Amino acid sequence: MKNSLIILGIFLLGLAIGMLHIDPLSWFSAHASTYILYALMLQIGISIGHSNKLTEMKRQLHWSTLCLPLMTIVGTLLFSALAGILLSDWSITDCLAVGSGFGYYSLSSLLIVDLKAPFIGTDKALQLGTIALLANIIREMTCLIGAPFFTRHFGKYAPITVAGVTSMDVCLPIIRETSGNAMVPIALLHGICLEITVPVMVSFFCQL
Amino acid sequence: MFIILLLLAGGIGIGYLMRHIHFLQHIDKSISFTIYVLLFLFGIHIGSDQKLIDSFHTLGLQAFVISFAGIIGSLLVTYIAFRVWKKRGGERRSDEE
Repeated sequence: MKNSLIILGIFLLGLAIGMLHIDPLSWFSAHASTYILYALMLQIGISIGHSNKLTEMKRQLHWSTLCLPLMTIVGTLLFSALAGILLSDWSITDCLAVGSGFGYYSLSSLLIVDLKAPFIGTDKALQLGTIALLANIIREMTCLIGAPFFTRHFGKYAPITVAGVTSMDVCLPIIRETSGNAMVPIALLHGICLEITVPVMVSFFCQL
Repeated sequence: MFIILLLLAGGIGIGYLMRHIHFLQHIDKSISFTIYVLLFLFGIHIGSDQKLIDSFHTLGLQAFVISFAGIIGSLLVTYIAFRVWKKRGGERRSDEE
């Protein structure tokens, strides 16, 4: 939660500075981002490979534990596509790219801005990136606030599926509280699976 | 796209090979820092675009729609799947655990 607020604060600070129209800065932000994004991807990869996430995943790997991340992916994509039909401004694949952020707002929005630009132009890509940032923050907040409600009405898997990627970090404490200790390994595996899925799926839907 | 996935896969490989080097544990901090820098630049980029600022409320509304669609979708699919699963093999679940 604290981390999310820091991230939001930094984004808003950038926003405020951008509104001052200091030209060299916006030029820099347009050109440097791609390479910094590459550096970010490499670091995320190293972090996944280096941590015991992979061994943890191998240990827990069983079709029944893989079910939940799969359900999250299928459900999210299905309904994101419906949202794409509803929203006339955006195509179905645009909405799928936003939806497949699964709560990983920082990475999904940055990827969308970078990868969508060649296809729909910088302006549109920035707009879609903003939508991805907001939509995935909303997803995390919804789980943080609504976890007790989801558990009561939809069962103990519900807050995990709503949390998406954040079921392994930000939302883990509230999931433990509402769904019980037994759900912690499932929530962790769910988050790890989706963490690897996000960059793959977002870049896939950005190409379509 | 391929560069991004290649970097991700390469990173996983490098990280796995260097998993005994404890220094790399601090990479999470440098990831956070990189994300801060990128989001800051992203903010500058958006802030300097007046058209985008003007359409912020529309974008927010669209973000709400996509976000809630995703949440409802994953809730429904998970709920239905586990109901069906329980009904068909309620007993079998005990040997999974």
